[in-house]
Amino acid sequence: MLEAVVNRMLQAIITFIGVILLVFFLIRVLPGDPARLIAGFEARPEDVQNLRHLLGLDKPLPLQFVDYMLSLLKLNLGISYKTGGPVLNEILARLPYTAELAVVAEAIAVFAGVSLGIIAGLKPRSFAGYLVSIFGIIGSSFPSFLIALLLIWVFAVQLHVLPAFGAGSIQQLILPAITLALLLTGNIARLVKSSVIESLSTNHVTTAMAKGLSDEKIIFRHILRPALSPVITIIGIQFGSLMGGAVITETIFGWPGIGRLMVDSIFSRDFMLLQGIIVVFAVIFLVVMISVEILQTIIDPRYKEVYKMK
Amino acid sequence: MIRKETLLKEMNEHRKTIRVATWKAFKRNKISLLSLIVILSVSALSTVGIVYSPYNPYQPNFSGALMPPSLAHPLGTDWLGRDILSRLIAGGKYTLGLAFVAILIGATIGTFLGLASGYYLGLVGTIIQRVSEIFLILPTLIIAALFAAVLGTGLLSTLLAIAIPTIPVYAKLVHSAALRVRNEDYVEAARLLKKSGPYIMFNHILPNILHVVIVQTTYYMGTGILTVSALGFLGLGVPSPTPEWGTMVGDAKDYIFSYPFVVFIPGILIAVVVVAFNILGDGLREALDPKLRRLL
Repeated sequence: MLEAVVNRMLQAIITFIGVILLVFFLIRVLPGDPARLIAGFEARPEDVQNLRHLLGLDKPLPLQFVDYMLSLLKLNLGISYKTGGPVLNEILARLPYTAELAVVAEAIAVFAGVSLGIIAGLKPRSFAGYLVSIFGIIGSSFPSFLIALLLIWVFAVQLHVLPAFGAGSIQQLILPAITLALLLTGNIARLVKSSVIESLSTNHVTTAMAKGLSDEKIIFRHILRPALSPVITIIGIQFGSLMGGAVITETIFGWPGIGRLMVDSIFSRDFMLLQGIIVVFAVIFLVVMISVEILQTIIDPRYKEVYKMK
Repeated sequence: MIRKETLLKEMNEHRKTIRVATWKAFKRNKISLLSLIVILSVSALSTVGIVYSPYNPYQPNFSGALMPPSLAHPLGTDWLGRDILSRLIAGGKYTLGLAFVAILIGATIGTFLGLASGYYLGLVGTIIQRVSEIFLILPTLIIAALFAAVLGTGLLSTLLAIAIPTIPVYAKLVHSAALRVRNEDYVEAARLLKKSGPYIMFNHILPNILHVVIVQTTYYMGTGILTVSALGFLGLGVPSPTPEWGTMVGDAKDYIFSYPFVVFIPGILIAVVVVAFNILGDGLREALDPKLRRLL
């Protein structure tokens, strides 16, 4: 078990180095002189030259890559081309906003998706069953900007109950969080629904019914628990689309998270910042992926067998 | 010789039966049939849009700005007085066309790599798999935005921003599908007949996993359209005044408070087309699945 986890982490580290390699060389292909960008266009040539040397930009590319990897170990993501400050500080200032949004959105999606999935699983032909399909279609096929704009139109323009822009208050959190939650709910609901239907036909549920256990007990103990493991998997898988959606959602709602910071960094051609953001994204994705795998072995005993087999 | 001809004839007849059965299975599902009709008509209109649109999609007409839908302008006009219907018809070749060409390029290269890594196991296969993982760890939109940042906005960079991340998706999919059939009897037989590797890959493995590729491509058309329009919306894709549908929504978003139709018409069109591709994908998956078909 421990061996498998260590193995998995080694694999993740290799993938992580690959991501940095990709981003690093992709960005170095760009025309333009970073030292000139940082120093400003009025700077004297010798100052630019000094800065270039200071930042190590006059070294050959492979050496620069090694430098970057070494500085990563010291949690140094480089200097922003635009502000001249450390990239890490800028990202850390924005990260809590994205984390808040992502956690609230995921919580709404899990709560709505699991409850809807259970109801629909118990009665597949009911209204809840159709709702699951509708949420599924919205999540897989609607552009996230359309969902965001529709919510703004209904709740901010027509009903005047929620603000369309900004961050700081709970009211301002509601619309962006619901936008992101709508991208995820359908998938969770669909998964829980089919898991519930599957559980209902198993012997232990029939036995539990025959023993005369109350409905609540059967649902919680024998139907909800087996549905938990796939829900955790899907949360891990969806995390990527959650962050992709956050890029759009944060831009529309003026939410100062790293999704919006990424778009801003592209427009201001601050590629050191862009590179740092992607590195942080990659770390987050890998950590989420591994945590999901470990959580599963704890929740679902069947996974232990799989690990043993490996 | 006669024996071989009879066999070939029988095989062709068998193939025809399968085609007929697939079409019958597909036709049963009225919603996926409707989706096919939606996709075909929107594609036809977009093709017409290459040469013709009722009004000039770029020409401003300030006296007729922000008019609600009417007989002369069935979908109204935008803030510059441009006919929205004409812009949608002329923009289809960007939104649908770019997604189509990009997915086609990505799917072809990815399928080839997946076939190669699935057939020739070993170092090449491992390298392809590892590189795929690097791409798959980052979400599509973030990779596409990264490429857009490096390549700049425009048609070609949007095309590459979508095509390149598509390659590893197909490489992985086709790799695992090829692994499932590479030890089947017919592949073994072809190997005994001393057929070359590429011949076996394209004539024996590919036809037997093609249904997986077709279904994936239908779903991926939806993803491609979403990515094109998301990049356009963010201002990282096809730049305005080009009437790419996502760009149209992005340009119009400030009018949501006063003239919401300018925002929602292109947005809803994108949603309708992507929904259609996803439903079509479901329908095709059911119709093309050999296991499900046998039950009919």
